[in-house]
Amino acid sequence: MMPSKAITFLCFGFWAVLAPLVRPAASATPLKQSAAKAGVEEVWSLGSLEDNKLLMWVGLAVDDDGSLYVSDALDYSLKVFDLKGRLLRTGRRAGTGSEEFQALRELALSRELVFAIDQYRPNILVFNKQLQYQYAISQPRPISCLRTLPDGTLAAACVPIKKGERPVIWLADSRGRTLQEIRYGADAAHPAGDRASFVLSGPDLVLAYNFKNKVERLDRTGRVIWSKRLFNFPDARFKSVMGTQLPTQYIYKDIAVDRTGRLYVLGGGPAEHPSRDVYVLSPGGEMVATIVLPDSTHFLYIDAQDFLYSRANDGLTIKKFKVLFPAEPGRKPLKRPRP
Amino acid sequence: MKIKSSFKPIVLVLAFALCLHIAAPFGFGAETRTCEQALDRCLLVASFMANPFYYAFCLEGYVFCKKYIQIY
Repeated sequence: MMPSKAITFLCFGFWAVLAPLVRPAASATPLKQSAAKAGVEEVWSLGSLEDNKLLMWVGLAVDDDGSLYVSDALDYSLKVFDLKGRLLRTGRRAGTGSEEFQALRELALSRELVFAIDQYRPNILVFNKQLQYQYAISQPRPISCLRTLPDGTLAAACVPIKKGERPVIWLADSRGRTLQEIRYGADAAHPAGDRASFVLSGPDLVLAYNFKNKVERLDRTGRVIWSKRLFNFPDARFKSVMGTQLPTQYIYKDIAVDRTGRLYVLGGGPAEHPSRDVYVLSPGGEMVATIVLPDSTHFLYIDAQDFLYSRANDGLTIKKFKVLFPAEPGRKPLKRPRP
Repeated sequence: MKIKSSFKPIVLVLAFALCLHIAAPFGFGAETRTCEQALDRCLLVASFMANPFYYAFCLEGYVFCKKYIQIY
């Protein structure tokens, strides 16, 4: 019979060898939180429980003159508000016609045009700034994120609809003529796995993957410049629904960039405060600060004056914040933006 | 019965609306429906269509639901 000391020793040996190999179960543990805390100060809000200015806004963009362009999914409309929150124009078109909306999503602005996505349409709807319909740009792949470059170039993250396809950032002119397709990701197992939000930062693209723990900077050829994991958390779990593999939670919901190139990444499920924690990264991908927004949001937007916009009241309210970074020792504080 | 596989988003939109109890804002997450349950019904409808777009629409509805409504 084996002495008890030997058994204890063997058990300890097994534990010592195997324990590091066994990963703990995924939990919503927040992660690298060593960065400084930045604050936000609400400077303006639009829409409330008492009025009907907004019903369920989804997308937002601010024009050079400060006008706020909003897509309201539940009101089937595009809306333009001035700096004081007055409704200037609205284009309400519920229906299935070529100029009508069924499920409005994101929008983007160029100098003369408004581009909007409808979830159930294989195209991008184009309006002038008076919200008069102009034309539609065909894009059969679903679009997860829509942006415009300063020169008016349209940029869209296109999601593959078949296994084996790769997602692309599609660059096109305002008529929809393809200028370039930048391929990224390669998740053959889960076509939705490489879905991402992105921003244009200088000459590069920065992607926040929606269902992977990955924030990535790419150049215009698709070469990865850096890749970061902000959480000590695995990628989203997938589960099968009627034979289709689906992610069960968002890891990163959105990304925005300010004038200095700082990147603002909105945390999803794994965040300490899901849909409220914003991780601020330097252009090089280092964590600079974290922000906790007062309300959960699906969306971040930063305007030309570096004000941050997010959601409140489940889509009835837009809130505009000034971001207050802690002063760094020996560094001149940033100039405060004017409202 | 074989359903014509031409591109008719309205079919799916209507199916989606029925699936989601359109009275609630998009139905997702409201009442007793979760994003998964809504998607399950949508895919059931899509399974009758021989067109990958229908699946894509269902998936888009699901990821939007996850992003917009379910905060966890």
